[in-house]
Amino acid sequence: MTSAVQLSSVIFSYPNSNAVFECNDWTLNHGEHVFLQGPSGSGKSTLLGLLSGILKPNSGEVCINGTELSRLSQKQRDKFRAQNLGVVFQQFNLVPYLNTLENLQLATHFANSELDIEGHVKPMLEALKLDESVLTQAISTLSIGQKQRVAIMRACVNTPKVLLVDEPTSALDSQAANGFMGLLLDLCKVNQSSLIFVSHDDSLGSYFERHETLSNIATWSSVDG
Amino acid sequence: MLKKLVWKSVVSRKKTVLLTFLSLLVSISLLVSVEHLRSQIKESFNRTISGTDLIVGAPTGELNLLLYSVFRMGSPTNNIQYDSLLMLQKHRSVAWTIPLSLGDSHKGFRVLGTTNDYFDHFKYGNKQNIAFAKGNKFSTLFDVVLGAEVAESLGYRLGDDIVVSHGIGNTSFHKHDHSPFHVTGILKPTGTPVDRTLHVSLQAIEAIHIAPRALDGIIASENYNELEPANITAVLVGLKSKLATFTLQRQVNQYKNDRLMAVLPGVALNQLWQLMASMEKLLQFISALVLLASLFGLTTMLLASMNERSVEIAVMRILGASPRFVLLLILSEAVFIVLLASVSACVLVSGALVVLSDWLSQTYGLFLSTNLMSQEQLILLLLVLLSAIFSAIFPAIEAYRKALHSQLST
Repeated sequence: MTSAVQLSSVIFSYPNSNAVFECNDWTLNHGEHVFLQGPSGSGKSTLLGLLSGILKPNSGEVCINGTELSRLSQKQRDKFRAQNLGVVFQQFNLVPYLNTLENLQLATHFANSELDIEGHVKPMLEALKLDESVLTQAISTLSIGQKQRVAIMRACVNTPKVLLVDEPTSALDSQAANGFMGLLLDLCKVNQSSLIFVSHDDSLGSYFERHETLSNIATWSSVDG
Repeated sequence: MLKKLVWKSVVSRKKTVLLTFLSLLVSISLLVSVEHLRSQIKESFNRTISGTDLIVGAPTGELNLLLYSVFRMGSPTNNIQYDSLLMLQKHRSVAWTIPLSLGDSHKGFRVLGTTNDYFDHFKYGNKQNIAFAKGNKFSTLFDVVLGAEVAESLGYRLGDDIVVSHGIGNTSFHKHDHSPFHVTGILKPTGTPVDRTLHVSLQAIEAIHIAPRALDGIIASENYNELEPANITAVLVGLKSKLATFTLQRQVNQYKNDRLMAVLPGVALNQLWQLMASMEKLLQFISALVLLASLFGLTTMLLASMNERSVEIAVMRILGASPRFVLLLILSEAVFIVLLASVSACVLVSGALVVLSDWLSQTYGLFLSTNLMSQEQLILLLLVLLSAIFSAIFPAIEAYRKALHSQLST
């Protein structure tokens, strides 16, 4: 039985930088939800970049659902990401000049799949408490809360094995944030997705059984050249 | 999906895109017009005279003789004797002659004194004869044959009476009111200065210049020989064999009884091209520079938009867009804008040609085709497109690079 996410002996550094990112061993099981806490600068973006296959480790392995990303070509990695990963960020999750439906279509386009509006999108709209009219609305006319829910919908549209979520509630007040968490976790259960939830906000940790601190998983060290 | 993205993305930036589009529209229009004008002027001038072997006139520049005798531009500097025409007609290598007598006008159109040989032997374009749309050659003293454009713009019909004035210009102070002319023929359009000419007999030219009383006397006595002109402006000569061209040219140039000069139309036209070649090059150069400026504008617009688009590009990367897709998106946007500008420029210039063609032919003697499309024009537009792709490559590579290393979170 493979894990949803498996990192082993990963070493990574940005071009023209002395800082080295290291992650020795980390595993996430299928369907498991993890709360990953870490202040900014602790390597969140780097970890997310490595997990999503946008960044390629200098050495070591990143396996998602049993597939080792570094064995894939650039093109295959892009396709793999589209089909197996859902990502939601703090902000900027949607292409601003497309409407909701078109953003969803863009996601299915890159995954080579068809958008099932009746069977998939409408139940998601219901689960996320969004009105159907949101589909044809321009992204710029949506509220922040609506945008984040549309972002989740877009991340889940290809029923990903792994959902990466980075500070999605920072723009929401605490009541809205709690509502959002409930909807997110429900959707993950329905899709049987593993969830990596990154935040510096401890209060959201109560939704998770497994807690991790980023600095325990990965370290930055500086190599003097 | 790509098409939809290109369209939506361009629409979302409509203000900057519109400005870039307008600057491209202006420069491509300029480029297309210059190219069209260049090819059409050459075509228009080259078709004006065909099948004439020599033009004989008073000694002047070769170009000058060509301009006033064939293009009806400027004024003849000097005349030649009527006897010289007779000499040419009798020459054994000469097949035909067309005497030309210029210097009068009718409502801004030139009046040409000639003989009926003009309608038989004058050729234009690809050795086409001039043809009558209505009526016939002149048979009596005061008959006039109108060029197609004269008849159309002045609204003359067969049988109308018109008055010819002395001198060139629209409002000549000395109108030959006593010599009314009778329209006997209207020519088919040729796209040459013939269309803007009124043709009368040589005798008629004399008739409008002698005193009214003397003219009345001649008409009463029907002694038309007295109207034989002493001078004419030039003669177009056709030879039995082209081989005799240079021999006759030399003989004419050395003719003792009159001061004559003979030029080959082809040689004189060539001189005209040499004169215009540098002008042409300059125009092309300027329009290329203007295009270059707008392409820089296009690059600037795309580059400037890259900052605000880094977010959108990151989103697309996350969704699984390959860097190539991002590159293609930026390139397609540039190509889309340039294509739109090119098509609009062609429509604009064609429209302007339709509207302005009458004015251009009347004012400058330019007969421009309203059909823009030619092989050169297509090659030119293809070059524009290629250079647009070239100028969009830098912003696109910037986007590509950004997409590769997009920092995912803020």
